[in-house]
Amino acid sequence: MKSQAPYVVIVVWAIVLVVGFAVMEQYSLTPGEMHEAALQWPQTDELQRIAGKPTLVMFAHPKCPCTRASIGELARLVTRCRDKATVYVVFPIYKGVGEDWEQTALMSQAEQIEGVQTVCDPQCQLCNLFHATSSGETFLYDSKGNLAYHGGITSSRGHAGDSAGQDAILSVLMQRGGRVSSHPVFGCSLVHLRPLDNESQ
Amino acid sequence: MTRDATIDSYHSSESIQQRAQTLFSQQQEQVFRHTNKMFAVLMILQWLLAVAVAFYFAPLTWNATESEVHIHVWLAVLLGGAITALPVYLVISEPRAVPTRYVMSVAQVLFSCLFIHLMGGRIEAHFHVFGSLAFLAMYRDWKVLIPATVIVTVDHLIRGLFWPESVYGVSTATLLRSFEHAAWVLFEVFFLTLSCRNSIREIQEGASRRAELEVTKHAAEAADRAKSQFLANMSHEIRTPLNGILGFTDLMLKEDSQRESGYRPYLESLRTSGRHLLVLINDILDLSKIEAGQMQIEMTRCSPHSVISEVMSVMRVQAQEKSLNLEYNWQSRMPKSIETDEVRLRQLIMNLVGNAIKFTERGCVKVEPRFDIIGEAPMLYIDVIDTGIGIAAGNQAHIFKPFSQADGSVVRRFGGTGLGLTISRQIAHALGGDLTVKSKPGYGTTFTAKVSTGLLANAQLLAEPLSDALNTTMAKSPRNRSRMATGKVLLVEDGEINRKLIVTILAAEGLEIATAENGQVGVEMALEQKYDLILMDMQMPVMDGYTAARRLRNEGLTAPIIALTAHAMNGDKQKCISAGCTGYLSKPIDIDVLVKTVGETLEGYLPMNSESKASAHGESTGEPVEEDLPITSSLPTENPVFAAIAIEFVEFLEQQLEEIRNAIDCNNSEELGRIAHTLKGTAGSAGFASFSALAVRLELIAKSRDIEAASELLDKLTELAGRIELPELEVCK
Repeated sequence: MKSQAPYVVIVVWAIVLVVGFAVMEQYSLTPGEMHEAALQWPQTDELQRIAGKPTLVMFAHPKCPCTRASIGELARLVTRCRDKATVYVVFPIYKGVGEDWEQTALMSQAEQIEGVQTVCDPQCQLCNLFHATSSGETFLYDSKGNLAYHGGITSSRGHAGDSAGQDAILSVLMQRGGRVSSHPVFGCSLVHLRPLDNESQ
Repeated sequence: MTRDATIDSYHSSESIQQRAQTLFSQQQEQVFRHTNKMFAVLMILQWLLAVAVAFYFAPLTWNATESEVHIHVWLAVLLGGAITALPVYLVISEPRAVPTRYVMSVAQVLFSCLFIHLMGGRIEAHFHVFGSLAFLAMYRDWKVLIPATVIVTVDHLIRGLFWPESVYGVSTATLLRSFEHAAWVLFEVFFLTLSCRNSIREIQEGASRRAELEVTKHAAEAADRAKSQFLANMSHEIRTPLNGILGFTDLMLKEDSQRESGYRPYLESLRTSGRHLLVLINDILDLSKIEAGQMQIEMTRCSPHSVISEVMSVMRVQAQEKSLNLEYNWQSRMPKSIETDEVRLRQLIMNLVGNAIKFTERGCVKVEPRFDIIGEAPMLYIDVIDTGIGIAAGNQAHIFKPFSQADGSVVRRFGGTGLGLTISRQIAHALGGDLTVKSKPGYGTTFTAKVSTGLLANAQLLAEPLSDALNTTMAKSPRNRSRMATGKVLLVEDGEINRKLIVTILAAEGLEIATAENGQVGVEMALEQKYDLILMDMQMPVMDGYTAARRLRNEGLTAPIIALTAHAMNGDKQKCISAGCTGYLSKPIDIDVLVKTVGETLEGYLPMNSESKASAHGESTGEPVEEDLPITSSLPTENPVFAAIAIEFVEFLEQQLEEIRNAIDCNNSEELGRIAHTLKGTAGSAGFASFSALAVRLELIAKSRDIEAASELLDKLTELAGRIELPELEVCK
């Protein structure tokens, strides 16, 4: 390579790649929207809280690809904290969708986790009740029904592995104590992106 | 540079090292190019895989029920394409450049990053890093691993310091943990580096060995060329003075027969010794060529019957001198022609028959050929059977070894060099066969020569052995040589002795001889004055015979040129003909052969109405020949076999004249040349030398595309054909 042009091309190429990877990182670290959660366990007939036992509820969009990692991490959590909490995974069911929404791969993945109950949420009532807006959003209420953790359990979009959210949940379930914590959630939106009100879906 | 110096320079360790370095660089280049191409394909495949992975893991992103293409798909297509583009472009445009493989290294590890992202950070995806480093080791250049290793290590260190959650999932991580991750990569890189260095060392050792082999090969080839040149030179250097010795001895014997000086016994001893020396030298040179693997074989179609008949004709005299019966019987139908080296076949049979006569005191020597088409390939077997002294079983293996005879007493009683059978067996092997022996002491010996006949598709098989006339010693007194046509001959020969010899011989025949001492002078003389014949030595200083002949032909000279050369190999003959010579005489020159060749050539070349023209039918009258005298074959046509050959030639001649006529009408010089060439050989074999000579002239005319001259010559041929007389046959019209 006698001329300088090829080296210039290499530099430009490197810059393009850096920008590309930066965009990718930026996307993977962009959290979903989260609203303030109820500090006390919301009363509902759909989800039963056992007194004296923590309750963990994860909301998952039936088709969100990033939530595959969240459910995977949930499985690890449940394996480590077997029977220490009642665990629910809630899948909102939207109006007017096709039959392929009735049983998705994520639902099957969640159903296979021992100790986890999957709940379908027609009309997104439970989503509204808990103010859940992003797929993978997890709520942990302690044995007394107080909110102990609210947020995601992955470190970035679709990224498996340890996260601060998991550590927080484990602390509560292992009775290691700790104050109420929250970490970003990384997943698709459960609602059409409008301000939270009773009519939102 | 001398031969020794040339070889020494090849052997110098410095030159071997340089060559080894060159070979190593070449092989390394080859590895780089090959690995670059492999990675270019891998890049494209990985790009496609990335897109597939993106579609599988995250095809869409959702906003409740609304979806759009996931950004991962766009990243796989665009970012993956960007990662692939530059390395593939560099492999195509700059395959040898060093930056190409470094860019490839960077691109490969960036694909690892992309896959880890697309697959959601799964542990399995991280194996792509380790696999990539192993692939990069295929360059066998440990430095290529550096960019990839740096990117992975720095990435983990920076993430560990500033964003540990992205790597370890916790908000706090120690520096040690970052080093731990990097260490696994460095661990692999360390061993890959060792592997690369070992590989390089092996390539270098291989290159050194190849360099040494090359040097040895060059030296061997140089030695082989030197040996070939030595053989060629020795052949020339030895034969040339021997030519003078034998030639002048023959002349002196001729003169002595008239003067009766009493020196005849001395001269005969001189001639015998000289001929023996010639045989010895020929055998040694032949054996040297064979051992050097340089015996040339020229495969052409020839008649086995003609070859054997010629040998019988030559050996007849020796057999008669010992009152031996020389017989020739066919044991099967024989092909009319076979594909073999006629000269070598003749040499082989001559050796065997000569040996048989030498070692037989009484009885007979039989030559019995047979043709076998049943085996894997058609073969010609020639049994030479004698009633001689025989060979003891214990000696039969030794007789084929050089300088070995049956036992020491054989040398004392029969003489010989002990090379004949060695050479004969080598010739048989070269002709695709073998030479074997069966013998019983006191009863006789049978040597069986087996040679391949080549392809015989549609070959004509001749009938069973002919009449007993073949078994008689075909004693026929040679025809009297006709008085030679007079003419002017130019002798171009650098050897003074040879010049004197040939001038003496030809001047005695009434020819006017001019001489030139080299090719340059010869060309000048031939272009200044008209000569009827040029005798051209081929090895001369200043300008050799090949160049001189070529130059004369380019100047339009059509006079016949006969080559005189000591190089008696088939390839040399062809070389002489290609240079423009019309004939060929090998040294040492046989006086009779020289005179006969010159005479026949002049007869064919000189105008038919010349008063000095010799009689075509061979009777020497000393009177001017009349034009209407009949022409007969010089073969012994009282023998039915030869008569058949003469008859066949006459039929063939009629055909050839018609074809010549057609070629002239169509102005087809190439066809004319081809017909003339065929007629030349056939007429000579059939004993019609005058037709052969005219065919030579016609071939030259065809080359010069002189159709008018060709037409005149055709008239001459037709007129001669009308004068052919065959015994008990109609005159050919």
